[in-house]
Amino acid sequence: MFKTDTLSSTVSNDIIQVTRLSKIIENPPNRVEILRDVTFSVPRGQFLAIMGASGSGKSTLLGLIAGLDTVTSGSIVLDGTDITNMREDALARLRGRKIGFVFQSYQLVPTLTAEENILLPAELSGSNGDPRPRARNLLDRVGLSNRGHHYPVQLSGGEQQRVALARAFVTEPPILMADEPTGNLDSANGQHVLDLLLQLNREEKTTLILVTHDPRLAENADRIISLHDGRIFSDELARPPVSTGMEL
Amino acid sequence: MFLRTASKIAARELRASPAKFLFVILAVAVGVGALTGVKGFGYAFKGMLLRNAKQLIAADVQAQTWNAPTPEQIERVQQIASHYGTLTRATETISMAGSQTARVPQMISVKAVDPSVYPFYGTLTLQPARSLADLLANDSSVVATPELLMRLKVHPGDSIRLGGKDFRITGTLLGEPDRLASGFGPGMRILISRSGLDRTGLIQFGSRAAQRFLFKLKPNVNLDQLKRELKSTLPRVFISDYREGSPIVGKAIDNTTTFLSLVSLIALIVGALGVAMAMYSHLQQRMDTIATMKAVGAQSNQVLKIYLIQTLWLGIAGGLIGVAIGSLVQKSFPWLIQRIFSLLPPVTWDWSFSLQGMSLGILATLLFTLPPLLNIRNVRPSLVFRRNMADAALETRKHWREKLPSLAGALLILIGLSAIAVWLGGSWKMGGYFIAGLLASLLVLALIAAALLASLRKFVKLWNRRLPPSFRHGFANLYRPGNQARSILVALGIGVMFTLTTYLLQQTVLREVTSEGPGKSGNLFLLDVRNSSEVTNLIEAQPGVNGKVEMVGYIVARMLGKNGVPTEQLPLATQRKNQLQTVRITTAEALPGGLELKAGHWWRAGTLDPQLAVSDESQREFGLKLGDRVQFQLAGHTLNAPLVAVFHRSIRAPVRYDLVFPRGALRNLPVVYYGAVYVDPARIPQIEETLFERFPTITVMNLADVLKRIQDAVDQVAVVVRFLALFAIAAGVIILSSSVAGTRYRRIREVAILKTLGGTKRRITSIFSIEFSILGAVSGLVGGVLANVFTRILSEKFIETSFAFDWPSLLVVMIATALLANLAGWLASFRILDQRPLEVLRGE
Repeated sequence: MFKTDTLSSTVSNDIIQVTRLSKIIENPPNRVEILRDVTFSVPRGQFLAIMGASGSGKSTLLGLIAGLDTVTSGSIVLDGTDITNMREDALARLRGRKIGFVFQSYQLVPTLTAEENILLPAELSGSNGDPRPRARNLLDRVGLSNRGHHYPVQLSGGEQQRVALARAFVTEPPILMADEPTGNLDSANGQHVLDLLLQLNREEKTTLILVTHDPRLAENADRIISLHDGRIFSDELARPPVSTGMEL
Repeated sequence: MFLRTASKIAARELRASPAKFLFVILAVAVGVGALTGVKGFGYAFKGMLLRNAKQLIAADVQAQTWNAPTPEQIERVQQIASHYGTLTRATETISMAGSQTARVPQMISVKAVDPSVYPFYGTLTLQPARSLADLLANDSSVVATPELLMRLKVHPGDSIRLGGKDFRITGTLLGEPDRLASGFGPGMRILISRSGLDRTGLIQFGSRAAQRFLFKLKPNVNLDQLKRELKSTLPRVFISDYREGSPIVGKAIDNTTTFLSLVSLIALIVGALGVAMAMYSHLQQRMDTIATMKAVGAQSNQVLKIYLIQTLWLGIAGGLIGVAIGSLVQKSFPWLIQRIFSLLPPVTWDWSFSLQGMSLGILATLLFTLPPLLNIRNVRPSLVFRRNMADAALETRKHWREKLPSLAGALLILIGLSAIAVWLGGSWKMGGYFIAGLLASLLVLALIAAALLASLRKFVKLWNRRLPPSFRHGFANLYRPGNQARSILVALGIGVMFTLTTYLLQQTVLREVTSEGPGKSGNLFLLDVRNSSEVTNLIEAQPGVNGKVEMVGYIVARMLGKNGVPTEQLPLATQRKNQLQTVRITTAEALPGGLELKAGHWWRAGTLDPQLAVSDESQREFGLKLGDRVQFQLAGHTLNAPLVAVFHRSIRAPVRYDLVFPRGALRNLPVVYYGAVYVDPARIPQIEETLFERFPTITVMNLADVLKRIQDAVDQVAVVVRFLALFAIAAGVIILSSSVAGTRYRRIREVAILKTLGGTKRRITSIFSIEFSILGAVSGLVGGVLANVFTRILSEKFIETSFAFDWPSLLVVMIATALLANLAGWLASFRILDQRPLEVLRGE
């Protein structure tokens, strides 16, 4: 393990570039600085874990990178596109193409079956071709091939999160973002979901950004950024970057 | 003890989502408002009738007949009157009036009275404020209503022409106490003295006029004895006295109030359905809270109390607002009917109806919210461990025992509603019919809605890949778990059904009236024609007259006997024998349209022999058979005619044919004719003018006037029904809005997830819009189809006319309801589109 401060130098290989990012919530007379002057970049194919205590700003950071909220200052470039001042619909389209999401509380649409939930991103992005074979393949890969017609309420927490995993990969996004994906699960289920997440990540060759406060989860990452009070406290490589054949 | 805590918690929850509860309150208020308004007005009106009974007939007792009494009958009535008090007569008819300033004559009502005594009770409002005797001092004076002065372009002091004579207008008639009593419409009217009426020459043998004998009684006379004597003197007389108010109007008000109360009940039921929906979705969102309360030790009954209190408050609030709406409805009624009734009741606040309306509102709210409330018992505390699964919790399969409370609730609703319907309908029979009809309609609507949703599901499954994703999601949203599409369909469908049925029936009646009548192609109608051939010749010689004038003659007669046996000795009920004292005989050549020959044969055209054809109805009532020789007395002549034909008269027959003679057989008798002819519309005023000049006693109506009168009559009924049907639609919209508002939190989360997964605003908007549109269009379709079916049944049963399925109306209601549904849906959810996904997802 070694410290580095030159990780953002490989510009063309960076799929995410975050520069001097701040997020402040003004609610006069209160002013809360959630993120302060955060700068880092993520090379393509890297598994980055963002750690920090509760309230350190890690989930907000993930949300901002995904364009789910607006920044106060700074910029975010996603796969060569500056999303900082992008309109909401353009952001939604970009997310549909580039980002897969896994949430702590699964966020499945309760009125859709498991298979319909998985198909949803593909349908929303209006991709050509029939996404069902891939959705079924993913259902199979997360071990739920016989639960495709079940509604979320009929699935356990672990099963729901596996459906959410399959959904995240259905559009073959280059980036996967996971916010405490095992936070709501017991250790056995949590481990199972994590194994699946890592396995799919390897197979699909996605860049994975995982937000967690669990050091055991972060142990699997290539790199760990720790946040404290809205600032980057440390940025460490756990092991050499995964080769994507694109390094200069 | 717990009641206070429960109230506190209930209040806290109400504060949390005021918008949704506002919908609930409005839904109840609409129904209660309609009920209180209708009931209150009906009561006020009846009270007014009773309080003003003497003024309304301008007498203590009134005997009214449409048949001109013979001099002997008049003499006998005068004898009776001298015994009991004072008598005066009022005669009312219609005629044409013209003036120097207005080219075209107008149809007016003429009322002849004895100005020295009329009215016995109540006062006439006249301008100048002098007595009627003063103003009608001679037989060439009249007083006229402002509308007549305006239409004939005359002023007091000017002359009008009536029955070929000139009359001077000596005053303006602003109000008559007994305007309701005669049955003649409002508008252009004159008052004239009896000698003035004689001078017009309008009343001759067979003229259509209402004769009213008005009595002012001495104290302590035997009223029933007087009525008996009058009945035996005047056949087919209608007698009313000061004790009854105005019985015909009173009965009409009773019927209308009952009908409108039941329609209001539908509005209330649809409103209550909305409350049930809102409560259902409210409870669904509160599953977590309920589970948490139970987990920390609350008993089912305690939780039930909280939501029961909440429901009760909503019912009371809805009831209170409803009572306020009701008083507005009550106030608007006089405005709606002011054209029919000159005397209108003062609108007074009646606590009993307000209380009744309130209790009905609360009762209906409680009844309808029972099933979702009782479901609280089935919420398990373990739900607290399954966050985010609450949405479909009420939808999961249940053991039949768990369904028992819901079934019991449904049964209670049925019993409660039946009781309300029986009470409002005034009889078990009426209540029974109402509830059976309502249940059948609801069942049909629910079945069609279920079938449509099932086919939609199949359709989406079959065409899955070929449908654009927005369509697929929009469609599928309708049958997903937790969706209340079926209830919304039923409520909106009922509203559409009522509105469209009223409209279609109205159109059918109008079409029927315009397509039938004397001379199907006529647009100019003539009444009180005496010299039929001269009039025919005159009209047919005018420019712009196409085709022949069709004339139907009638004459009043008395049936003397059958086969030599006098009527008095025939084995008939007294009532029938009395009827035979005055019968109406119609003339015809060939078998008229609308009549179907049942037995015998029709006569040759042009025959001069007396022959008789009767309707099957009269044949039954008077015990006649083919070959019978029947004797009649007509205008002093006796005719003996064999019965040669029996016919069935459809309701569409242009004239009420009962006893028919060949025209030639009555050639020398004072037959009165009415006729129809088609005239180039641009030439109508000129022909009216010519006719008025040559035959001033003939009343001429053109089609446009007739249509306007019918349209007015139909409109007056339709406007009230439509008013309440719109209430039902409004309730449907409220249900839709509250249902969408009820799923607001689910939708907010869904929108956030969709946005996170790449859904653009446009895509999400189109998914929701498609969902709302389909919901509206399907409601429109179901309601529209049912309205067409109902109109068909009603048309065939009551108007005896065919009704072709009205496709354009179906299309219009489908589009209109879809637009309405979008409006309601988006009103409840447009703000959720602007929420940032992260706020929502983190706020979980």
